[in-house]
Amino acid sequence: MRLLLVEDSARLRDLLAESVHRAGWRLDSAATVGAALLATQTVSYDLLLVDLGLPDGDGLDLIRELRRDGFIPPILVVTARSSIEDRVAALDGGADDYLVKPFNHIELLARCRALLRRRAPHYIESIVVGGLSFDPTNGVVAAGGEPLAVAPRERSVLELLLRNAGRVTPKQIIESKLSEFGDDISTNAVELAISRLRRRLAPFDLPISIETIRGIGYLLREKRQDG
Amino acid sequence: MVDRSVRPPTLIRIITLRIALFAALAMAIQAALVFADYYFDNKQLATLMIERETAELSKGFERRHDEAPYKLPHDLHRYGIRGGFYITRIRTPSGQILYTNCDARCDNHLLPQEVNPPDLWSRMLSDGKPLAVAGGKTYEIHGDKIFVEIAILHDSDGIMWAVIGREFADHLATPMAIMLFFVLGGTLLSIRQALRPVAKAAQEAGHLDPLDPSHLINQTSMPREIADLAAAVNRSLARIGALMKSQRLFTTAVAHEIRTPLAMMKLELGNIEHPRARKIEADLDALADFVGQITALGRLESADRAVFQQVDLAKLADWVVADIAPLVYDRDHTIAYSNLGAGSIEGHAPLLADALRNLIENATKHTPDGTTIEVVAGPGPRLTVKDDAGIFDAPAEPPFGDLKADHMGIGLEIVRRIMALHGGRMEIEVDPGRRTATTLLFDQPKS
Repeated sequence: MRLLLVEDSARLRDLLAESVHRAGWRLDSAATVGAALLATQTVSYDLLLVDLGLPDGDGLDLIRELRRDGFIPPILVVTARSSIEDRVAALDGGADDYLVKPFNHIELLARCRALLRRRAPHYIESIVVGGLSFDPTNGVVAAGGEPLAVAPRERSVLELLLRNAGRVTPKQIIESKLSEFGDDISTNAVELAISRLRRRLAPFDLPISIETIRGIGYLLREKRQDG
Repeated sequence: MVDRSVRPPTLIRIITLRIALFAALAMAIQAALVFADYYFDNKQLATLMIERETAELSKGFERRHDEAPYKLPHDLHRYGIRGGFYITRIRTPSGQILYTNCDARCDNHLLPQEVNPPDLWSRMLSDGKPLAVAGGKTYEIHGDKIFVEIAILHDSDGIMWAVIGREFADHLATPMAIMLFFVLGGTLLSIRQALRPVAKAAQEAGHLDPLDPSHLINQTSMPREIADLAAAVNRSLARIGALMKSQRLFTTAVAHEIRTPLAMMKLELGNIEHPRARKIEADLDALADFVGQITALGRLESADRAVFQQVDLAKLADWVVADIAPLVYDRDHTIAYSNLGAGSIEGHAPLLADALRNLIENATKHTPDGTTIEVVAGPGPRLTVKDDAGIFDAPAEPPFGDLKADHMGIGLEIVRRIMALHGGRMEIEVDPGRRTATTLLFDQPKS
């Protein structure tokens, strides 16, 4: 994996480079909008980390320009701007996620992993969250390294949840995914699929859980282990 | 202290009173002049008295349906008394007497019967007041000439005053009343019209917002003097708005400058494997929270009301709950959402999302693990954050004397201010040990 960090603070660039290298990825750095544009035109990146306050322009304008030019890889905004207004503007402008300073290595890497998982299917070999993996190329689900037999309906729900791990997946989206199977969706089809998934995963004691956010949807999350 | 119950009088009232006062003064002066003019001109007074009395007496011909050719009107019984101070003789040119209460005095004071009198004549019977006069007037009634003659020997019924009063009414009171009506009416109408844009501006001024550059006092069709005042108010507002915006920029810039070094410190601490490093990390998080609240306050103080738009409360709550759910579960709490139909309000969506997020974060921070949080949109224009812990110990007063990053106070104060900005309020209900419900109530739903 090769990432590009657009950040004007040299010290922060060094610290983030440490984090990223620890995950086994390569990190290039750019301190300005101009340098970032040049880098994206010459190198193919898997993920961009962009600060919003840059010396020669706004990071949000950079994101908009990249998206206008057809830049596909995910973009994570790493900024000091904490308002919801700024977050919404960044997400609407083409960013995929938003991380407010200060943050630690774990948070940063978790967000990066989540974004890399959500990329177009042909980019990834396998989606892995807390010992549960899904291979989009052949549909194989494995828990703790052991293949797990999962019915097609549950498998498609699990894929959605895994791609959105750490975020709430709205119930309507799961319903529309299930409707692809052609049958009429019963009122509790989603609940049934989730409940079956939970039962199948229970014996493996994985550090993940599927939470029901009543009225909204479902959240597949890694349980915190740092205590 | 200013007593607000005593309001200054309106401009219209002041002007009405002034015009009435000056009109009364002018009338008094003119009345004095008119009185002097009539009172000291005995000859004119005598003629007027003769005209008035003969005209009244001539009305006795109006009742010609009964046999008598003349009947003395009821209110002239002073001419019905023989030997009284008022004598009359009404006759035709042929010498036929139609009515008289004369005795020998008639011959002394009136013209001889064989003489055809002039159309109008009068003479003084004595000098000084009360006037004693004699005279007559010729009337043509139904084609016949009638001579009406009278003599007032002693004006015991105050005919002279009645005549002066009548002259006042005819030549002073009526024209003055008509003039007053038009002058006062015209003036008040002009003032009302001139003040109409001022009244509108006063109404607008109640909603003026230094942070909404499009919301200024409209000077269209205002009189120049008042338009100058409105322009001065608009300039002051623009200066206040600019000051508030620069303060906002300053606050947010400071917060941003702090966040980047905090990020570096946190990343460095992440490389240190020691429990104390984790403790410092927690302190840094608290400091970052505080910086976030200060930034939010800065943003709130200078929120631009021009960007208010329709906000669907249920949609907003749905978005906030989905966004914050991972954090809630990380803190070992659970969250649920119900939509009971909250409708839309006119508002600033990011600030409203901040308010709701603040309440949910408070609920996760100040309740034990395993607490269930429920966000309810509606019924009606309201959002409620409930939890089943029933704990609430935030100070009742704004806590700015004792700001702490981990204190609930500043967060709730921000929520209160956001609600005030939206013309709404926050209500907190606590059932100790069972339930805490914080409700954001909006008073002006749009749909």
